Amino acid sequence: MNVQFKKGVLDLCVLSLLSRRACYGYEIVHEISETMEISEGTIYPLLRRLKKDGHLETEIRESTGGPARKYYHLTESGRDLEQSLREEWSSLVRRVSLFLGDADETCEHEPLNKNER
Amino acid sequence: MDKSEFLERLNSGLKDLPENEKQEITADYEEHFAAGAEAGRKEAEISAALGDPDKIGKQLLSASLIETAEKTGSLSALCRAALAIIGLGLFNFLIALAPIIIAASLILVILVCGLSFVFGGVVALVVSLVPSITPADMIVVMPSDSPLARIALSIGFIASGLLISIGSIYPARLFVRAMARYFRMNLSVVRRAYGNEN
Amino acid sequence: MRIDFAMIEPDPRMRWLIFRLFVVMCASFGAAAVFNIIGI
Repeated sequence: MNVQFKKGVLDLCVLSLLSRRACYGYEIVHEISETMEISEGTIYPLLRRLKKDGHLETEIRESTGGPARKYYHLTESGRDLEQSLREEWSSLVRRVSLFLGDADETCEHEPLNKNER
Repeated sequence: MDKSEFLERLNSGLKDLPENEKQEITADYEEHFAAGAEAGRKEAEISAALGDPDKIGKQLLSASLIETAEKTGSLSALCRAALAIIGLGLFNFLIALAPIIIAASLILVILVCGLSFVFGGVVALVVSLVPSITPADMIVVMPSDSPLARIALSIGFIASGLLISIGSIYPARLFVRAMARYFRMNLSVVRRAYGNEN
Repeated sequence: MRIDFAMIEPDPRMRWLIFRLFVVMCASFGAAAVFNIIGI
């Protein structure tokens, strides 16, 4: 259940990362896999889906010394989706924390790592 | 598993995708391997972290087939998408296939109805044109005794049968699109609830 | 799964065919009614 729960918020994590800055694929996978244990290959289908739905755009940028890379950045609708998912997530966390009897604010980021498997 | 084996297995699962999409996907994973190598990771390490290429392939395939079905109303794309989704274990066999089978049979009923009109019309036309070939034990009952009226009636029957048969295409396409949308919505719900992989 | 009848797009030729079939149908039924009344 915890593993599945973690993956449910994958969309939000990717969108939130990209709302801060444009990233290339490996970077996204790397950053996400530092906080969550996931099969890294599943990020790419997710990116394709978000792109097809118009939440992401890509551009090819030359990198210094290396091969060209595909950078992902959010569109207007991507920002909206990020906002609404973020609100959904924090209201869920708030309600569950209340239910569990500890309305500690730090819970907002803890459950992901603490309850792994 | 090294890079070439990973890409090969991924590609073998993507056979049904259009060429440009396949290339895009391959390029994404190649870039990933290149960036990983730059960061000092071994190919085997990277592919192990990426996960099962067959599963990733099925995921990509079902998403693309659903999109095709929604755009073109293609029944074969819809069926292949349903199979890929079932292969992923995301969907119950019955949930995915029951609506397809029900609607397909309804559409088949319309088609068969149209074709029987055509068949009946052809028989009536032949009998009215050449009354002498009517078998002895066949009784011709038509709402008119005048031969010209009978011929015209038969032609009208054939035309209306053809119209009904062609007409069955339209609800069929409408249904395929609706089903594709239904799959997509269900899949996103399933993804939310159970994650991308399992 | 090669039967892909749903792929047939409603292109202009298809519409033209349907239109002609419709005309043929109406004309024949009309003619049948007339012939029946006149009795030839």
